[in-house]
Amino acid sequence: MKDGFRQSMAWLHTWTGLLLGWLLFAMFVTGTAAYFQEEISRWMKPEVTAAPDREAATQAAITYLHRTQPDAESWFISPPSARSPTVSTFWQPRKVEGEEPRKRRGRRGDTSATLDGQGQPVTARETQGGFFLYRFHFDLHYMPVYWARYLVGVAAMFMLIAIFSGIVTHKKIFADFFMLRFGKGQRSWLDAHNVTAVFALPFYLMITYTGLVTLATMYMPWGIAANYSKPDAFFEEVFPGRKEMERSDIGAPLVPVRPLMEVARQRWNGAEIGSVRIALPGDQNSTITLTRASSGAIGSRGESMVFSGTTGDLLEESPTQGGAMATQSVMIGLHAGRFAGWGLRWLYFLSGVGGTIMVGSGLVLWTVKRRAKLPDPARPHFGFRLVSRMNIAAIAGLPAGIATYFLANRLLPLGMAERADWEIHSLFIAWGATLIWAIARPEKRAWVESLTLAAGLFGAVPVVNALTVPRNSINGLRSGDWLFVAFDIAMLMLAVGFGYAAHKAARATTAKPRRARAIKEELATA
Amino acid sequence: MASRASPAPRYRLAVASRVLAAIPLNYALTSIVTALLARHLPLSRAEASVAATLTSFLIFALIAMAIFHARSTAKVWVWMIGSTALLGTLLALSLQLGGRA
Amino acid sequence: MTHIIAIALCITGFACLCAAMVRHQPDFVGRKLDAGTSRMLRHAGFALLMAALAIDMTGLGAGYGAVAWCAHLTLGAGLVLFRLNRAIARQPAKVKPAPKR
Repeated sequence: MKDGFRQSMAWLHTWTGLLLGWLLFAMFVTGTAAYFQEEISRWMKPEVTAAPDREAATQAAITYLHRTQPDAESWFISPPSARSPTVSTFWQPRKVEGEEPRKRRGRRGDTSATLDGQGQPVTARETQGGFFLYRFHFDLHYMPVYWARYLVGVAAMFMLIAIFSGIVTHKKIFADFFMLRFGKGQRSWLDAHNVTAVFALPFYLMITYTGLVTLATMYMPWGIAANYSKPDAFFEEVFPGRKEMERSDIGAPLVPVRPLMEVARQRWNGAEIGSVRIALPGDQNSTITLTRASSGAIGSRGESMVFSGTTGDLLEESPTQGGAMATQSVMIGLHAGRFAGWGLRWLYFLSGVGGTIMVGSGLVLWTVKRRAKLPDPARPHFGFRLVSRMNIAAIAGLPAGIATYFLANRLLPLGMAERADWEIHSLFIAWGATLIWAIARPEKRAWVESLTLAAGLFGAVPVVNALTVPRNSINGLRSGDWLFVAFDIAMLMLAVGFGYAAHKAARATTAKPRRARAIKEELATA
Repeated sequence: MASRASPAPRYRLAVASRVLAAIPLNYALTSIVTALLARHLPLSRAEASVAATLTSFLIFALIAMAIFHARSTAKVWVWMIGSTALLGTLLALSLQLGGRA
Repeated sequence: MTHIIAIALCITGFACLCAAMVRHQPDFVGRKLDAGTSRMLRHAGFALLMAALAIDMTGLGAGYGAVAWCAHLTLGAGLVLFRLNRAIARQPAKVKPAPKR
């Protein structure tokens, strides 16, 4: 296959790209949005405004947990941060002898609470916020998480191979970088695909490899299995803080947490505390584990310090990570980008948008290449029709769904049962409706209409927001509520972007047979 | 696909056979290589496990590309089955002699 | 601020590198440059990119700066490419070499 190496690679690229492209597109869209998941969550909970003091808020959360969950096995507290104003807490109920420990599933509200700076449960609308988009990126929805993660892993592995083989087959890709052209007419899809593929190639390589690494122990468990008969043995060896403490059944009050947080912050050169875990609260053997915030350094696995809960003495400190563990931590950190400040966060976002366009244009290219070769372009065969309609649903439908998700957050009744779930359902209802619309309408009209729909829905978000909640751009400009100003601008820019795409789609002409031959030859060499 | 560029049946068969070698068989081989690396890299047990796991994706991708790059499909299979059998035996031996934690 | 300076350096750096390539000089500079100037531009281009790295790493910390530099490089290269394409598009159609491959 030596002579046909490029050909076989191209063939593989075309077909696996098509099969996994829809999934990769959804992963790119939601993953890119997830770089702003905290901001999206804040926008989706407009009732929450406080930006409280970290230490005081943590102490208030402990008081709340002491009052409501005194018998819990452990408490877990995420203090507020610059990006998230609330305190998230969850707890593990006390184990009862002879009873299987309950799996953490079902309604999250059972063992978790969101608190404000005074330790009061936040009375905000029920929503998953940006967290849903983040989880969809690798857990998808309406299917078992394990299946979803394997599916996502297969797509990521394909993408990694596509990147490597792209570099090998086009060795001069970087020397020829300035040869990339934004073409005109039918070629423009090929050009859009090439330009977006090459120009952020280092980002794709990084994001794909590190993405695989985030779920590495699931995709490739054999590295650990080779040395440990049980995965737990590995995790206990590398994370000493996970060891279970013995309950003494002698009551003892907890020390205040503020001094401990200050000790830890000094130890970590001023980096903030990302989480507080209190094991066996109220018992003499209780421990307080502080972990560095993931915004403090690139490595995602923060250092931790374990203190005695009754004396405040430092019991244990996470050992210095070895080279491999540190590499893994940095890789995961690079993928999630939690360390990134505003400037870098927007560059991450732009690279993600580049990836979205790269996959989207690749999907469209599949149909563009084949349309010219159809025996009867007016009546394409079933496979072609299926792909072209799926493309519309994927490319215009998912963004329309996300806009609907934002709108549902504002429009669904606040007291509605399972409100958060219905926000998510409305995303998929809008997405599914786009697919049905795309099948029912002539192809070109379907493109124009569904892109216009997405533009309209994004454009409606600032309007609906202004009509339903008191926080909006105009008030925001006056009071310095920049989140709402930025969100409105982002929505309007998306609306303009989709509107422009709809305008281009409306003006695009299907290739005339005469021109089609020339294009066909050009595309065949691509 | 009714088009000129569509590959001939023999070509398709070769591609299908290589896809089989490049995905399931490759996963088996990569797993064995990863396990061997985890056991024998000159690092601590935990470090070697993590280092091997991190490298595994690169190994998988390189083997997959080599499979499509190779001149003859028969050779691909000989190489893949041969190395899987050989390295698998080595891993079994290593596990027999060394044991796990 | 560091971001803005570094991005500016990356744009200038890539502009120099592009102008140093004989193939792009008619489009990007307007005429052919002699070998000495081209070489100088090439060196200047790399020097500017390195300067951006130095500024990123001092201004943002070594690790963070290195990551930010990669992002700045991408942005700089993309903008220069866009500029070059605009320059070509604005020229009257003349005989150009086949776009690619």
